[in-house]
Amino acid sequence: MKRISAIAIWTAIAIGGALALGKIALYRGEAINATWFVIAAACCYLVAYRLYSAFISAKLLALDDTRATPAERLDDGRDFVPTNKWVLFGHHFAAIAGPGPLVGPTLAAQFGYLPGTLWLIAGSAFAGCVQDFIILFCSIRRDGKTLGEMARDEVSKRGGFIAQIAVLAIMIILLGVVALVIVNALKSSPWATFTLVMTIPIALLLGVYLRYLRPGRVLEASLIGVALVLFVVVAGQWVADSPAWAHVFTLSGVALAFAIMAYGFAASALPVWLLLAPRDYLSAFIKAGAIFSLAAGILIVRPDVHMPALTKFVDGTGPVFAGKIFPFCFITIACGAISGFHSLISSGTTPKMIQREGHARFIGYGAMLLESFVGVMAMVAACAMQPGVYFAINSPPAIVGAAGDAATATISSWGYAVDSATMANLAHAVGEQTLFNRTGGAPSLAVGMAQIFSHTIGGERLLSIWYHFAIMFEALFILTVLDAGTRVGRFMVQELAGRVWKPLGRTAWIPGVLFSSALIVGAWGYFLYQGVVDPLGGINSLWPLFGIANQLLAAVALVVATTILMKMGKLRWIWVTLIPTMWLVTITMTASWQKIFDPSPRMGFIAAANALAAQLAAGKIPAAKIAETQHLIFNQRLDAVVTIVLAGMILVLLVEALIQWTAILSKRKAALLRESPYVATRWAAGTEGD
Amino acid sequence: MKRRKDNLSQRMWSVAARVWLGIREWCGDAAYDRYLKSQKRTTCTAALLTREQFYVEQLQKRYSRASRCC
Repeated sequence: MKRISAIAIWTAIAIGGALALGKIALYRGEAINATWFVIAAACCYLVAYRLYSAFISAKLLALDDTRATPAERLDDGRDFVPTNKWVLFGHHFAAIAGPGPLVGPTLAAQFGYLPGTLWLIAGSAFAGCVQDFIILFCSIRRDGKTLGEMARDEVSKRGGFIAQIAVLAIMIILLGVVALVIVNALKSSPWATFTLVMTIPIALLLGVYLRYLRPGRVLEASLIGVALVLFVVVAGQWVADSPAWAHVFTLSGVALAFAIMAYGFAASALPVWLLLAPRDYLSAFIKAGAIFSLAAGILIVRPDVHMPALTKFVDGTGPVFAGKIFPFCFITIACGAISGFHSLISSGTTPKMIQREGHARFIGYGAMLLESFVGVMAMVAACAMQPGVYFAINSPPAIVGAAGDAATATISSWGYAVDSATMANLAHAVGEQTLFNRTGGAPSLAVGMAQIFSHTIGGERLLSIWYHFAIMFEALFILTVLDAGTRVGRFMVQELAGRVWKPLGRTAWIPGVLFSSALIVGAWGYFLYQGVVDPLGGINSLWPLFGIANQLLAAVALVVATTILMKMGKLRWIWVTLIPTMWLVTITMTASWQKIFDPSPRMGFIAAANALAAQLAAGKIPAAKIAETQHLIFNQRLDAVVTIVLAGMILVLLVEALIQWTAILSKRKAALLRESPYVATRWAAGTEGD
Repeated sequence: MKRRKDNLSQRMWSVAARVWLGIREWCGDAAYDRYLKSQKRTTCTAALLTREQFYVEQLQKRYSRASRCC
């Protein structure tokens, strides 16, 4: 009887999901309610978790709860700590959920709501969750080894080296592009700039509090910090209203870029307890609060989605970024569907804290489903505004024009009606001078979130507060990635530099710290600067580069997973990781090819460099702009080289893996697994050592 | 009736206590207590770290590897 009712419930969920998906896929009316998105996503995730993750657990991985995990065997209360599965789920989710699932879907909304939503749901269920889950399992079975170590042990030394280089490459490009998102959000916005600047003294205050006054009392310090941050969000309005102070906090893109680079350098070089850690605590609380509030807001307000299912820009002529729906929808939405960076978290702290192998399904697969849900909510928030407003905010001046009337005329000519008065009123309502040409995704997402929040609490009156709360949330989120990433990058640079000259490898040697911090900040800072001065807004060239790098890392992780499954003798089920690998290789290689060789200057790096060079040679560039143009030509060529290197790494890794797989399948090489030996758990079921 | 009410309030307290503990563990507030518990269990001979030393050591470790995703 119980079984029959379970089957009935799951059948109802599956039918509900199919109906909701059918509704959002086939509906062609003026607006569709966001509730359909929530139902479609929730039902699909539940079914994927109940069926597909259970299938992977049972058939592929054979999770064994009688086997002691590293957290039990090596428990030292410091690195290896058995942790409650719900708490660890929270830890893991907080670590994997960054700005990517918010910004990516917002940018991909230029294709319409449908492609991005389908990719978020299907990509996470069949690729992203699978990657996170299997890499977590592999790391648990290897005492918490990192992805690089597993690639070296299980694939080859070259595979391990590629993984290391891929991590460094993605780190540099990622930091450059997320910093660009902040710059575009704060440019000419004294309120937002003031709010974010004030989070630095707040973080310093918390750092001193946590280090000297109340060591390790994270909860109370974070609550004080969150209260102060909310206060400065409100206080930002007073700053924006004061002409003298507004002038101080109104910064250009270039000034903001250098300020962020200085911040990144300080966060990397200063003691970790002073700035980086307290900011991370603040960010974690605000992140959790904002994400749950957005979910609640969407459920309460149930906004209408005004963006069409598909826009005319599926043909690659979109103003937000150039490129056809294939492959660029799948490159633009990386986090939220599949993100290679997650494999670093799944092979980092989480495997050292998991109590039972069985929890890997809930934590690895489940947390990624939740992140994907965040992506769907971001898509709803972006698509809930009128398409004309969305395009006015996200289009760079080089495409639609800098003047309001010119921009609205261009956007209206595409069939997405918008007028200057609407944009001026909206800018005034959210407390900004203008919302035209605010590329990068963050401002449009903030407008979408603010509209949802203000319909829940406060109405139009609080729209400006909610907008700046959303901007602060996104910027805080991104700065946390920026400072933590810069520090990790610094360690990686020191590790490499230490091989050349030993003192540089010492993490406590101040000249070494300063040198490596400057090197890593200089590397991502260059990409940031390049994006800021790019006439197309930077996102057009840098976000795809970031997507390619991130999917490259995902391909590395899936190749490692496939190799391990092959060695485990799971050949029959190898398609579970092999199909996502092939899909990732196809989209990254196609995107790389188009970004390098496409003849359109808006799309291809080489074509863009050649077009500028031709203008220069023909004397069409004014004398004052010659140096700047030469700089732009160099940047386009540099981007082409970086893309070639990334694509080259994918090909080398693929060839390397194919050699390994052929050797294993033809029995020329023993399928030697490097798992830790089986040790029976001492914990009875349900006790988990607590 | 009264006993049922007492049971209910007891269960609610227990759930609230577990949620509170969960939040403390999630944000790292309870990490030092965990460490002390673990050291007691393993009868480790090494000198115990103070709360302050433990806090700084944890941060050094956490932020020397990828801990926040994009």
